[in-house]
Order: sequence, then C-alpha cells, then structure tokens
Amino acid sequence: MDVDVELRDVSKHFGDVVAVDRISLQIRRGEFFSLLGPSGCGKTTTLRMIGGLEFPTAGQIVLRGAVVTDLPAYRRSTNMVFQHLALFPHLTVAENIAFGLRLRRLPPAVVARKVEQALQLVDLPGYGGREIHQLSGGQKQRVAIARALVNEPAVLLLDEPLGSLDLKLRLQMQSELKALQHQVGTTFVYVTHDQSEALVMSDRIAVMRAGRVEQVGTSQEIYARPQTRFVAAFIGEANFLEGRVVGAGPAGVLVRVGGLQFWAAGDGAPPEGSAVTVSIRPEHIKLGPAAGETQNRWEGRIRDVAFMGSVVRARVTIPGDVTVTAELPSDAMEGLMPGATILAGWSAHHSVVLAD
Amino acid sequence: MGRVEALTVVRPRRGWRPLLRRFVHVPLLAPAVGLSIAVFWTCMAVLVVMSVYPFLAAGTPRFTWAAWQRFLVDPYYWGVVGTTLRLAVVVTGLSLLIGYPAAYAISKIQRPGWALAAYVVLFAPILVSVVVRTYGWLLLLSNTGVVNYVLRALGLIREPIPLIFNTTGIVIAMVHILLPFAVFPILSVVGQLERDLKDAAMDLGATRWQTFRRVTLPLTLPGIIAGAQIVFTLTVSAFVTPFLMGGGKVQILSGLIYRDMEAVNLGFAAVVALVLLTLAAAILAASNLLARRTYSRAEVARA
Amino acid sequence: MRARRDPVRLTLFVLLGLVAVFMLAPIIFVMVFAFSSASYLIFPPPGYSLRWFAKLFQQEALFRAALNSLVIAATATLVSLIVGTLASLALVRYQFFGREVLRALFLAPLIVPRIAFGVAMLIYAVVLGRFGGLDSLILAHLMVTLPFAISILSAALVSADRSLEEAAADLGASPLVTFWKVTLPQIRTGLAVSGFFAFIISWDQVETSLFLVKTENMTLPVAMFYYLQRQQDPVIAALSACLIGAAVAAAVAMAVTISPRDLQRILSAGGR
Repeated sequence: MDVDVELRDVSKHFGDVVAVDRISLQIRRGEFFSLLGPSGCGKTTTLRMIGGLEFPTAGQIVLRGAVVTDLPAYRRSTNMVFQHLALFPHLTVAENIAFGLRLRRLPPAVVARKVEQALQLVDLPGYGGREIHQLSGGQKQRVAIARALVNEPAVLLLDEPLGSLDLKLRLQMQSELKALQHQVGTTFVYVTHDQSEALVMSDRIAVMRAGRVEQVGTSQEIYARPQTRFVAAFIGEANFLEGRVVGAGPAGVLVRVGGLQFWAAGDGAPPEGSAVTVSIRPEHIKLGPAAGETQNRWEGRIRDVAFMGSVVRARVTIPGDVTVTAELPSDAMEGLMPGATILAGWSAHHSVVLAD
Repeated sequence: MGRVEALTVVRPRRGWRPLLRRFVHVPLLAPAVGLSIAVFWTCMAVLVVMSVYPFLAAGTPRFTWAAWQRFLVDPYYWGVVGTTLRLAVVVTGLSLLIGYPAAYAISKIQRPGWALAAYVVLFAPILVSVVVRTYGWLLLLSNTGVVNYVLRALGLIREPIPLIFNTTGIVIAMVHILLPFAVFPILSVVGQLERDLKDAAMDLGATRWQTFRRVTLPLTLPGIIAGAQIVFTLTVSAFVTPFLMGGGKVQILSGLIYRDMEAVNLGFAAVVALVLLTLAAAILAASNLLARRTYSRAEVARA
Repeated sequence: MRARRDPVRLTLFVLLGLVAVFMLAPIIFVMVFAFSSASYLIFPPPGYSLRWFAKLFQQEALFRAALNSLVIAATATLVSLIVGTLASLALVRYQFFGREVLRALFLAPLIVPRIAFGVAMLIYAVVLGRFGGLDSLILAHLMVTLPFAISILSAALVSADRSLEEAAADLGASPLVTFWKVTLPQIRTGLAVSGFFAFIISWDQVETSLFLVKTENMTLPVAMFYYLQRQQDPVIAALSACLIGAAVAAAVAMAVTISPRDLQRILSAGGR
C-alpha cells in the first residue's frame, strides 16, 4: 500500500515547550486519517508541519516519497482547510477558489471550468459571484473545502474545520465530508478533539497526548482494544479496575482485582505479579439473565440507576467491594431496583489489560 | 501547546532553508534600523557631545562643562524651567476641564450626523497649520482684534485688555491647539463605559453626582491620564505658539533654545535642548507609572 | 423626549457648542481678515478687497517654499510608508532576539521634543556639510513620521488575520505574492491613515525644520513663521485662507477613507 505522508521521529519545540515529541506515523494513500486528542496535545502542530506552516525542530517529513521537511507551504502538494476557514474577505467565492489555480498560471478558461466543478462538488453551483460575508457558516465551510480540493493536493489537511458549526450542521457536514472523501479519493488528514467525530469519519485514528502518539488504529481497534488508560478514557467511557497479574493462559491473563479474580484479554501479556489496569466498557457489562453467558460473573447489589434516554446506567457493587457501571438499553430498566441483588458479569475478551 | 520538558536534546537541522528562515527579519528591519541609527541616534549623540565639546565654535574646541554650569547655576534658567512647567500645568488643567465634559457630551450625542459634525469640528483644526491657527488667535486677541472689539461694543470695557504678548494669550492658543489631544483619549474611554454600571449605581441609590464621582470618573481616569500626558508633554516642548503669542515677553525653554540658536550659541542650545528632552522623558516616565497604577485599578473596577 | 429637558444634559451640549465656537473662531476670522482692505489688524475691517490675494500671488518665495514643503512631505511620507511597512512586518510577524528593544528604539523619537531634535539635526547637517539642502530636511521629517507610521502599521498588522497569509502560502503563494495579494489589502486603512498623517505632520513641521532652512530650502510653515515676525499684513491671512481650503479638501478626502473609530485610536495614541 502506498504511503502518502510519513513522519519520522518528528519533534517540535517552541522555546522550552515541547509541542510534538518524536512522533512517527505513516498515512496511507486515500485514507481518512484523524489526529485525535485533547487541546494542547500537539495535533494541530503536527498537521501544520505536514502542511509546511511549521517546521520540525528534529525529524523528517516525507510526502509521497520525497523529503519535504524544510520545504515551505507554497512548495508542497498539500492543501489545508483552516480552523477558522481563512477565506479571503476581499475576494469573491470564485476568486477564493481560483486563488491557487491562478498562482499556477493555468489558462483562465481552465480556471473557470475547475472552479465551476469544485462548486458542483461541494454542492454550491452558481455561488461563484457571492461575497464571502454573504455566506452561511455551512456554505463558508464548503467554499474552504472547495478552495483546497480544487488544487488536487496529494493530501488534504483539515484543522478542526467543523469546530465552529452548531451540532446539527456538524453532524450533516461530517457525513458529507466522509462521502466527499470517498468520491475524490484524496488522502485526508483530519485534526479533531471530538472523539465521536473521529470515530464516525476515520479509516484510522492516531490518538495523541502531550506531544506523543498513544495509539494508532482503526476506529474499532481503538475503541475495542485501547492500549493505554488514556486512550480508553478519552474514547468513550470505561470502568477501570486496578489489579495485579496472577497468571497467564491462551485466553489472556488472569488478573486479581481486590477480592476478584478473572480472565482478561491483553496483548503482550505483562509478567506475573505486575500491577495492571483493566478497562471494561459499560455496555459490555451484562446484568441479570444476560450475565449468565459471561465467563466472569458475580452476584452484585445495585447501588443506583440513572435514566439517560435510549440507555440506562446502573452502578453495581460486586464482591470484593468493586463497583462497576453498566449501560443497558432503556427497556431493560424495569427490574433494576436500587438495593436489589442481581447477577453482573462480562466476557473475558471485553476486559482489556492496559499498558499503564 | 503542552508541557514544559527538556528531556530530548534536539540538534537544529542543517541546510540553507532553516538558516534563511531564522534571518528573514533582518532585511526587513535593515532600512529602518539604518535610518534610525544614522540619523536619529547619531543626532542624539551629537547633541550630547556638543553640550560638553562645542566643536563648531570659533577657536580650538576643548572639553568643557561651562555650558552646563551656566545653565545649572544661574537661577534665571531655573526660572525658565519653572515658567515652562507652570504653563504646561495650566494648559493641561484647562484642556482637561474643557475636554472632559466635551468628550462626555459627544458620547451622548444620539444622531450620527451631529456626532460626525462634532468629530469634524474638533478634529479638522489639526489639519490647519499651527502657524495659521496661532495667527488666527493674534487676530482675535490683539488690542484692535475681535474680542476686544466685542467687549468694547458691549460696553464691558473702555480700554482694550491686553490678551497677547503675555501668558493669557499663550494659554488660550495652546488650549485651542491641544484640546483635540485631550478630548480623543477621553472619548475613547467614555465610549466604552457600560451603561449598566451607571444604572446599577443609580439603582443602589447613588445620586447623579455620586454616580459620576464613584463610577464614571474612576473608570474614565485612564483616558484622562492619557490625555493629560499628551497635552503636558506637547506643551512643554511647544515652540511656535508660545513664541508668537508671547511676543518675547514670556520666556520658556523652547524660546531659550531659539534665542541661542539665533546667536549661534550651539553649545548652550544643546544644553537647553538636553534639559528639555530630559524633562519630557521624565514627565512621560512618571505619568506612565501613574497610568499603570490607575489602569490596574480600572481593570479591577471593570471586572 | 424628557431627556432633552434634562438640565445637566443641556449644560453639556451648550458647553460643546461653545467648544465648537472656540475651535472654529480663529480659523473663521483668519478667512475674514484675508478679505480685509486694511493693511493692519483691525476689527471690524474698514472694507473688503482681494488685494492681499493679489499680493500673495506675487510672493515668489512663498511659492518656492510651498513647493519645497510639498516635495519634502511627499518624500517623507512615501519613505516612511515603505520603510515602516517593512519594519512593522518584521516586528509583528517574526520572533527574534531583541525585538522589544528594537521597537522602543524605533519609537523613541516620539518622546524627543521637536525643537531639541532640530538643534541636533542642524549640528549634524553642518558636520556632514548638508546644511541648506532638501535632503537634511527630508531626513529630519522622516525621523518624525517614521515612528508614527511604524506604530500605526504595526497595529494594523496585528489586527490583520494571520491565517489568511497562511492560507495563501498553503495555496502556493510565495511570501512576496502573499504580501501583495493578502497582507496589503488587509492593511490598506492603516496605510491610508499613516500616509495621511505623515504628510500632515511633515507639511506642518516648524520646530524640526526651523534651524535647517536657508533661503533655498525654505519650507512653507517656516516661511510663514518668519513672515509673521516681520510684518502682520493680511498676506498671511490670504495664504492661510488658501491652506484652510486645502485642509478642508483633505478632511473630506480623509473622511471618505478613515472611520471615526480609527481616528480616535490614532489621536489617543498621541498623534502629534
């Protein structure tokens, strides 16, 4: 598989502050790749270094096989959709989109045709003559995307472009953006702090924290098999149980948490005796009859129940004074009485041993 | 962006592009730095040298404190410094006294047309040469001028009152010339005043005067200080208006410089120029200090 | 409409009216005297005539001075805009060691009393053997207009959207093209404002020029200053009337280009 972007041990320091700390990544041709992490984790800096708007303090950036580490933005085949869009207010929609084409000195007829095609692509035909300030938020978004894509970049960089939209429009733009990427086949590198956005849109996600990449994988991998506690906590929700490895087997590792002992899945099983954290997603904790099919199950006592619309959450204390939160469909709420005794459990492969 | 950490020691990468990026600002700054050093800073150095080493005078120049001594020892020159400062205090005081309510009134104008007219009336005179405006005041205030004519016509006076070639004339013309510089800083602060704060004060039972004294005035103090600073420093260093309106009867530092320059007494002129410069810088430094204190207090009041 | 009858408000507006009269009176009466038939200052004028305008147009020296002033002001303005834009770009867009010191160095001339600088400039001009030339006057005025241009243009660049420049670079524009197509359109107002003020400051500069002028490089305001010292016939009033006419035209031109908000900001910053 072709690699479009490769980061080799890239670091970026701003004075004493380390924004990006020796990260290495390979982004494949045609994939929708997300850099996900809380604000200040270095994801935007990483994106800007790929685009040539910042330059690494150390390391190498390779774009389609060519080392571009020190090449300025205007010499790179990347284009960016900026966080606040950065549409030129003194130019019309068409002039904005034509900006890059004209700099490449394409004949006016070609420019006009490409601009029209780009407007079609983002569903804004006939908007070329408008002024930027006449557009709605969603329309500006589309113009920004058209302005970048019209140059047929090797990689399209998107810096939280949906951040300023309201929720409804954002959801709509998410699916449109995904469909658009499918249609044009360009490699997208997408920066976001919104985990659900990343999960919905990405082929692969790099979860970043404090300048480093914690884990790279598909949405499913990241969600189902988080490698670190940070990833498990940042993506969705999880019960964290602190314990110790007491044995190993083909099914995974045997973990003791408080008075409990159960089998958990773990890549590269840590040695016996080492302290570990086990993560279990709330929806993987079964209650009542459903728990009967799980390997790890105990009698527990319901502490409280919270109705949350389509789901309910129940906190259950199981032997060894361990309390876990379970998430169930709302229709299972009947029979969940605080104080009642109930069977609670989870499958071994749903309890994941984390690295730290 | 993240945390402070000095674990990784990173060697800067080589190559001409990173090097170039680190020094792009140099060619941009070069003309300004060159001009500033070659003209302004050299001039300042020349002034200092001239004050102790009058090298353009007749005879062989030698190092001497004579000019400084003459200025610092003679009470006459201290008197001139005093006159200069007194004039600045009076002009600043009057400018604020007139400028504050004027700024306040402008901010209260509701029709945009009238507001614009007020701006134009206050601002347009700046476009007219200081010499012309001073001349205008000579016409208005002279013994056979407009003001004395009107006063006589009204029967208020029999003999014309002397309004030019004295401090009165200087003050009137200076206030006219510097009033815009007092009004605009105040205006920019008054314009930001929150209506809510005043309403809140009134609601809490404050009278109008109390509201003004306890809310409006403290909050507009930064504007007042800024205006005072500009007017004061401009008055201290003004020459044309005090010279023409004073008619040689009122001596201030700038006039002293002019007199010594006419007499080709470069060494002494340099000394007076340096005294004036020091005075202006000291006033600025002192008022900046004052401004910083009030600003922080005004910020607290705003928060 | 109760607010209208509010006595405090009324007092304020009456005062504002008086201030307006105060500000306009000398300018208006200069115009009146320009048409006086008397050769000395007396009010009311014994009669009205155009003879002072006629006499003004025979004053060749004043015309030469006006031409000098025009050349000096235009050159100082142009150079401060170019040099000021370059310096502001460096100060605002780049991080480098000693930036704040440099900024202070650039703005320092604003503190120095003009007449003190005039003294220094004369000595320097004599040392260099340039006393009496237009070049020394242009350089002197430049020292006054440049800090002014730098402070206004820096403010304009700070408020200009940096990400637009990045977007241009991202779309393939070299730094030069980016500056021309994106940065410059954004700081147009700043350029207009600082250009306008630089011109006015230079055009009306007495103190800085006073010691630098001889007959051949005489500037208009200094010529008027000397004329007033010698005699006070209404020739200067006639000239003033012409200048006021020009100022009104300039004010109209500026009202079209500069908003009151900008104006307020500039004057608050101590535009002299």
